[in-house]
Amino acid sequence: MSNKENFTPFGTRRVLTHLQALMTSLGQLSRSPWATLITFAVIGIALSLPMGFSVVLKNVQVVSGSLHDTGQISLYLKSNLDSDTLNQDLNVLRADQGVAGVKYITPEDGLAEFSKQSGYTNILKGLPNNPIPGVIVVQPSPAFKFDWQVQQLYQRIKQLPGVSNAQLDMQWLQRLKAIVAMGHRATTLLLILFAVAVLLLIGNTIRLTTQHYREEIEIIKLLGGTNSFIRRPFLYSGAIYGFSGGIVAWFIVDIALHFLQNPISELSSLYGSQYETVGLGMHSTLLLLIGGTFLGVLAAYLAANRYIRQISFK
Amino acid sequence: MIQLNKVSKRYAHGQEALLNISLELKKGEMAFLTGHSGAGKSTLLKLITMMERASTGEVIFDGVNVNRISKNKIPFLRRKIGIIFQDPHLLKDRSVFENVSLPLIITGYRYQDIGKRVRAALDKVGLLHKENVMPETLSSGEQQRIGIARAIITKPPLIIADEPTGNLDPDLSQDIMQLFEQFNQIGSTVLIASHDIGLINQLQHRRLTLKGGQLIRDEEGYMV
Repeated sequence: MSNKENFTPFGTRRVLTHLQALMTSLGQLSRSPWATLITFAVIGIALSLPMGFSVVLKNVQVVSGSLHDTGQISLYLKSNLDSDTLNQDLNVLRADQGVAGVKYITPEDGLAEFSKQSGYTNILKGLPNNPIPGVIVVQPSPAFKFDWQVQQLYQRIKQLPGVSNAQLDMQWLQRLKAIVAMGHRATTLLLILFAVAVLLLIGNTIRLTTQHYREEIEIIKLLGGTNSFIRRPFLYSGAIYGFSGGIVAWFIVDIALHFLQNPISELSSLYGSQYETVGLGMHSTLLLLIGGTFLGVLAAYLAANRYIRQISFK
Repeated sequence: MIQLNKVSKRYAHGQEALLNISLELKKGEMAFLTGHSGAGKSTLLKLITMMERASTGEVIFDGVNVNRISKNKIPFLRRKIGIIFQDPHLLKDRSVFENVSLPLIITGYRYQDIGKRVRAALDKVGLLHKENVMPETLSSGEQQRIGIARAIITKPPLIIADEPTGNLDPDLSQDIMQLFEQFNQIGSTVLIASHDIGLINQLQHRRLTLKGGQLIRDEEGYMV
């Protein structure tokens, strides 16, 4: 009875059925516009939290990267050091590939600074001789990427004949790096947590929608509609929820960043660095939108599939 | 078209709905299925339309044993059946046009021709002028005819109707039965379940009578 000529060619038909499913989905969403917009907002807020956290982290990384990453090494010289050994040491240091800068502080300069800072000027004047040793401050090369390279330099220059004691001042940087690493972990954790939240949220919304359209689903089944035909509009709805939530999240992060722009540049100027805040960027934005859409489709599939299979006309 | 071989249906709670039923409905035939409520009419139709599966025996539709086919083949087989109920089950939030065109959209019918086919189907049930109306504004007789238009729009080889005149007054019921006779004359096989003996008696068609889940009478071209 079916007349083949009455049917559209398969490829065109496919496009048309998808278009038709998209229209059905848009129709369903627009029938309750407020509920739809609120769902967009909730998904957007949920997605904006991990995204915002990752942007903050990115900014911290940029700031900490602009600081001299490799720390500095203070070499405390032996007292009563003769100038030959001192010059020899300084020359060795200046020739070292791993050294970016060398600054010699004479015992006199050191004493002057110490008395200025401590306020014990009179007591220090009363001492028979200057207790402050000479110090060479060594700036390791910024080309160093790893801590162990700085450690190696530290071990090497510690052996210089004029040096009595050496101190590697890296601890605060290591702490910062540890905090950043922890932040990365926390962001990943947040991302997983909120992805699950979005999955449940969209899944639940779609589940409620399928229940709302139960009668329609039953009738379509009765008229010979396949499960995939019934499922398709719900998958589109899931995709629209995820994508729109992603756009809302993008706006939230962008607005928050504008809001924080001034205090951040003030803070960074206090640290002596001129610094522009970093936004989400192309890569993360794409990831956000594609990820959101994918989550939406997945959630819709999981929620709708089981339910649609179960329904049958009674 | 339809063949039942020793079919029984027992529901999960132990109730025997059908007992050892064998019958055949040939292509182009029209038959009534009668009996008191609870005799098993609806169950029999549910087995043919694949809403339920027989507990034992074979149900063969269009050469396919529907008891054995996988669930994902059912939709394609169902497209060959126009199903009509006492309650027409129209979608309340769609216009008459959208309701009637639904089977064409499901089967992927060519979009340009949908309007033409919908109008032809509505014309057949005498409701051509109602295509843009919402179903709830129509009388129950009109709603039933919209349901019939939806069932026959794909020109299905088999039409199954379960108490199609249950809610209608006698005049309207007669109109509906005449519609089914017209579809039968065009070539569709028609099976109608009805307990309206008065109405059935006026029409000269095969009559299958069920009682307590058993087929107790099978009369050809019965006329009072």
